[in-house]
This record gives sequence, C-alpha cells and structure tokens, in this order.
Amino acid sequence: LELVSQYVLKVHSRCDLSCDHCYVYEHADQTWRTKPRRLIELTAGQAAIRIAEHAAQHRLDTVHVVLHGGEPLLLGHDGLSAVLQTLRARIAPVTRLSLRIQTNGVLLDERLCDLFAEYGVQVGVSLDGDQAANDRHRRFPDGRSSHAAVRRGLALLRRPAYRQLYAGLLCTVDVANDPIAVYEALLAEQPPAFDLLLPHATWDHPPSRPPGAAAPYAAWLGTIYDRWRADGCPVPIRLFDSLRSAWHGHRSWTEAVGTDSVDLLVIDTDGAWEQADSLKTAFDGAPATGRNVFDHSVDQVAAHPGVAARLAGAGALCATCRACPVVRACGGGLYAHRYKTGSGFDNPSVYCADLKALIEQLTTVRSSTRPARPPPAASAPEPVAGHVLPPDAFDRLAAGPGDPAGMAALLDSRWSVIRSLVGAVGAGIGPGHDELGRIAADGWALLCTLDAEAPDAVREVLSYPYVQAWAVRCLRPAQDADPGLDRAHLAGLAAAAALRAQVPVELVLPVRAGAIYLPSVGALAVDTSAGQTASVRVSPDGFSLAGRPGRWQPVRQVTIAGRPVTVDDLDPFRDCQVWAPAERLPDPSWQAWRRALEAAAAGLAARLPKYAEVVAMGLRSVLPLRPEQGDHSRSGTARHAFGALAMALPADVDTLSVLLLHEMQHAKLAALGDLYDLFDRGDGRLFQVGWRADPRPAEGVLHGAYAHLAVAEWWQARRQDPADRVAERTFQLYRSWVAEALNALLRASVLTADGERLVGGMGQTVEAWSDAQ
Amino acid sequence: VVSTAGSTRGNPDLPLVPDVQGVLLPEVADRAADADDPVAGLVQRFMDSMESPSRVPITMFNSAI
Repeated sequence: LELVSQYVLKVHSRCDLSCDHCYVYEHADQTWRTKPRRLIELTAGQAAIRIAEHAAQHRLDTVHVVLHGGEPLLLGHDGLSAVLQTLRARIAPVTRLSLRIQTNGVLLDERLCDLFAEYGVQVGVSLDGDQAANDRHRRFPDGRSSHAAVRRGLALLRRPAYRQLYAGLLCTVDVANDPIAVYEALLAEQPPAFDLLLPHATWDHPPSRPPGAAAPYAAWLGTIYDRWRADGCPVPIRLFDSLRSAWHGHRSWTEAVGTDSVDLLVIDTDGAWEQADSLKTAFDGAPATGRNVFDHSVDQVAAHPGVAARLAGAGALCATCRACPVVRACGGGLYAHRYKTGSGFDNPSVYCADLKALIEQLTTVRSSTRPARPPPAASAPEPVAGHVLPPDAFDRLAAGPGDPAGMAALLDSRWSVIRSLVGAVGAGIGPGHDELGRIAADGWALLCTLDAEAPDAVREVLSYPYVQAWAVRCLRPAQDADPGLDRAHLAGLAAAAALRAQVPVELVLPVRAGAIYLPSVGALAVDTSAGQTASVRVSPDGFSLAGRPGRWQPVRQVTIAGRPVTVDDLDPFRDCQVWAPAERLPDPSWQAWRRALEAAAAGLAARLPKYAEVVAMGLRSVLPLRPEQGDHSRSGTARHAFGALAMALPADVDTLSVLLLHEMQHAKLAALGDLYDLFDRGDGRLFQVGWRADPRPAEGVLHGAYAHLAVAEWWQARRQDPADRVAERTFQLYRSWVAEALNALLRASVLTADGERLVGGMGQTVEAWSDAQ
Repeated sequence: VVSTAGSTRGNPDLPLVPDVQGVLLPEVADRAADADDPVAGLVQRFMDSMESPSRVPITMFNSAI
C-alpha cells in the first residue's frame, strides 16, 4: 500500500479571473459546472478526518494540504478561517500539518494575510511575468488586466510582517512572451522561489509551436536558464533545480519532472477524491476516481488504478521513456502531457523534444565550464586545475615554519576545500517545503548572488573556521542534530556576508538557542516567544531586527600583527573539539584573554619571527575552552575548523605563545595533508612516541612530531639565554621526541614519497640543531 | 621503501584539491553533486577523513606541555 501525504483541497470551484489557458475551465474536463461553488463545513470536516485517519494509521511525519480552486480566496476570510480551524483541529493532533494556498492574489488583503500568519499558511501566487505577458492570458472576465491587482497582493507579501508567508510564484510559459522580460518581472517581485510551468497540452491537443520550431519551449526556457546562471542563480527556480537534481539521481520538487512517485490526491468541493488536477487537460472526467471522502478512506482511493500508477513513479513510464537516457531527469514529463486517445498515458510527453533539448542544455552548460573528464584512450590527458604549493614552499613547510608564499598557497587551497564543502551543502538545498527549508533556500540564493557580486565578503565569512564545522555537520548530521535548523544557518552566513559587503537585504533568520547568529560578526539574543525565526534587515549602516527587541553581542576581537583575530564565545558551531567551549566570557575574563593573546603574539614574534608571521596569517579565531580545575595547558585544533585554535587560558604568557605555535603546526599539517598523500591510510599500525603513553597511528606520530618540532624551536631560542635553566633540558626532551618519531616513521615504510620528503625536511631541522650544540 | 598503498587518489593525474576559487557557488554545488567530479571526490575524502579509524581523532591536542 502506498502512502499519501499531499492533498489539494478545493475550497471554491469558481474564479474571479477568466484566464484563457486555465485547465480547470478551458480544457477537456468540464466537471466544474456540476460542482458546488463552495466547500461546506461538513465536507471539509470529513476530508480532514480522512487525512488524519491515514496519517495516524501510517504514522506520517507530515501532511501537506494546499487550499486550491478555482480561486480559493473567493471563500472569503470567514470561510477560510473555518476550513483552517477544521484542518488544524483534526489533523494537527496526529501529524505535522503543512498548509499552503495557491491563489491568483487579486483578493489578497491584510486581514487574509493575518489569518494565514495565524495558521502558518504559505501563499503561492500565479503570475505570468511582466504586464504584457500576464495580460496575454490572465484577465478579468470583462477583459481588464489583472496585473496591477496581483502586484498589490505581492507587495503585501513582501512586507516584513508577512514575508515569511511568501511561498513563491507560478508562471505559465508562453513562448510568444519575451523570456528575459518574464524572468526579470518575476525576480522583481522578490519571491523566495518561482516555477515555470509548461502550458497543459496532450498529443490530442499539442502545444502552440511557431512554424518550423522543433523545440521552442526548450529555447525559451533555455534563455532564462542562461540568464539565471549568469546572475548566479539568485532565486531557486523549481523546474531547473528539479531537473538538475533528478539528473544527479536526487529527488525532484515538482511532479512535472523526475521519476519520483506522486503521492498526491485532490478533494473537490463535493468531497470527491480526484487524481492530479492537471489531468483535466486530457479528457472530460479524467481526474475522477468515483470515490469520495464520505464513503472512502485514503487507503481505498490509493488503490484506484490511476492513483496507483502515479504512486508507482517510474514504473508507469512507457517503453520509449524507459529506454531514454534522459528519463531520470524528465521522468517522462507531467503525466497529463502524455495523453493520447487510444494509447492513453502510455506515451512520452508531448513536450518530449523540448525536455530533451532543455536537459541537454542544462548538462552541457555545466560541462563546458568544468574541468575535463579523463580523456578517452590514446588522447593526451587534459590537466584539471588544482592547488599546488609554489616551488620550495613544501620544503620550507617541512623545515618547520614555512614562509608567507607557502602559507598563502595553503590558505588558497583551504578556500577551495571550504567552497567545495559549502557547495556540497548547497547541492542539497531545495526550494524548501517548510519554513526552515525556505530560509535555507533564501540564504543559499543570496549567498550565490553575493558570491558573484561581493566575493571578498563571501570569502571573509565562509573561511571563518566554524563555517567548515557547520558544513561538516550538515553533510553528516550528528544524532542530536536538527538538520533543517542547521541548513537554515545558510541565511546567517548570507546575512553576515551582506553586512560585510554593505549590500542591503531583508531576510529571515532561524533562532537557535534563543539567538540569531551572524558568523564572525555576533549574535542577537531575541525573545523566543515571538517564534523560532526572525526577520532582519541588513543595510550599509548595519543590522536591525524587524518587529521585536533583541540584545546584541558582538564577537570580540584582538589584533595580532595588524590582523583581527576573534575570541569567539558565541558561534553555535564552535563546539567541534573534544573539550567543551566556554560560554560568553564575563568582561574581566575577556580582558584577561585580550591582554594575554596580545602579549603572547608579541612574545612569539620576538623569539620566532618566521613562525609568528605564518601564525598571524593563518589564525582567524581563538576558541576559549570551558575552564577546568587545575589544568591550564589544554589546547586543540580541529581538522574541520582551519584557522581556529581552541585553548584554556594558561597561567602564563609564554605557555600561551607555545600553545599558539603548537596548534598552528597541526592546522598547517592538516591543510598540507589535504593537498598531498603523506602516509599510507590503510596502515593501521600504532607506534610508541615520547610525548604520550598510548601508541599512536602514523598520522598521530606525524602531527605530534611536526607540532613538537616548532616547540623545540621555541626552547632552542630560549636556551640562548644562559640564565634560562629549564630551556636546555626542555629543548633536549622535545628534540629527542621529534627525532625518535621521525625515525619510527621512516623505519616503518608507512610514508608516501611526499611524506618522506616532509619527514626528510623536518629531519634536516633536527640535524641543524645537533650541529649547533 | 616508499609505500603508495592506501593512496586516496583514484586517478593520480587529478589534484587532491581542485581549484574552485573562481568557480561560482552554484557551479561548485553542481560539481559536488556529481560523483565523477574531483570536487565531489574532495568532499567525500574530507568527510571520510573525519571518521577513518586509521587517522588521529578529529581534534589533535596537546595535553603535556
């Protein structure tokens, strides 16, 4: 038995517009003439009972109900209020209820928006583009344009108070319209997403095509696609996102494309269970199932052959489609578009040629800008652009400190790693089916725009260490994670980048643990009783919260070698070490940190200027650890938070200098280890080391040796002072640890050629000390 | 003796870290979603490195200074 989680509830069967392309009134099915105008309370209640019954029986996480028509707003405020109350009362106790309304927007007013805000109803609006495009079909019965009235409704949805209700725009394609004018007009309404719908057609009634045009819809959509890509994909376009996602083997977000099963049922105003509305274009009575909410359960209607075919997904495709190489993207197109008298739905889409051409464009454009694949045999391989260290930089890093050119190259390679991780998170962002999903989608879209327009600001924010920790958490969620909330952090990243770029934006941010976060900038504690999201406005003057008070806490900074370094006790993803991070530092503690870090950086620069230079280049953030009794020498470096060094504040400045030195060695080696294979990852042997009692894997030995190499350098510098009694002894201890570790690695044949080169360089530094004695 | 066993490079001619500094994020996302692309390879390798038992814990620390 298949499960159904999406319902289209027809609340009014008539419309105040008279669009000549409407499938409800102008296509084959004419059953609207026999349907009650309004959904009455009895029918709404019975529909809600059936939906709740199915959700409870099958323990569905979420049920989506779309209020639809005709024009659903014709039911009026009170009628809609009663329906929403009924749905919530019956369904919400057994499952999560997601509500949406699809409207022409003409009647939208503040009172209705307040009602939708009360019930969390997302509002989708139909708009075909600029006035010329919209007027081509979407007119009042007396011929007047509906364009201005719809735009008034959209202006309401853009208000901060209602912005969270704005679900997006649906635009029906007409190839007679100017595609760029349509695209720009849709974008100008600032929707969180929009979709481009192919006009309903069948093989019996093919779509309008200019003479001689083989795939005019592909050309039209392709023009928008190219512009959209050139713009940096400023807003999700469901058709394109779905085709690309499905092409890569992921889900589609529309029944129009992709091979996912379609678990959707329609309930008409008379309580009749129907199949997808688009079938109205096929033949009179096509969506009918002969079942109704009074006599039949969802399980019973799901067994109807037509419904079962849609639930079967790819199983319902014709033989031609099943053999087609692009079927995983198009999925045979919209089911209704396959209809032909005689063979029914057992055909490719009447838009087959257009879908094929469009998919080819979507994938070809990508290929033309990406590195070449390994070439076919016998042809010369084309190099893929990748990061390498400048000549001698590897050897200078191997010797210990490295040099500025090498560190800059290492930072560039980390930037590519970070972009790849964030890109992988972005690849999983869809149009958003709930509030957090939409926040994530909005954040991703804005981030993409800023990436094209203000790349320095985006780099500044995304290369902030805890962004990597966030991306890793999104890509592999921990058991206690809230993946939707984590992905919504994209909006915080975008807001922080917009703030740095001084680009004015308004967007909604998620509230996490009572605050909204702008990574690397600060956190705003908010009153959570007003909801788990908050609308914010970024302007060149700063950052403000719409509609409720907040308490701003900036991320504190010290200046080291002229560069800002945060002391971050706020970032929600900073907890990526084995030790717990400190909570917000009281002012005296923060002042102690500030003084100690400035003094420690100065001390490091005085004793080991080469090391100090690269530490200053790589250090973005110090993460104070939660203090523990009797231990002031704890520090850590996370592989997935390059640029952050975690530590407890030690008792003296010299120890803090050594902690900075030591931990930056780990960070540098971790970055180098992403660039080069240094050791055999399949070798599970453990080795005894001088600095720990427990045997360590090869990578642990390498990391310890590299960190202690720098610490030995510190004591080497200190022992130049004859009065420093502990320096010589401590230096000899570290030197012996490093030498023994390097020998162990070389003896074990566990290193690659690059690893041997690294260890060889470290060995030369050790040898030079020996010579100096 | 130099061991090359266990190399994470499926193809030694491909860089371990592809340069995507100048590639716009939507394109990077596409490439991260394409299992054949070096960007996806990098992401996979990075994520695997977070959990590989042969590697040191994700936090490398000094408790003995």
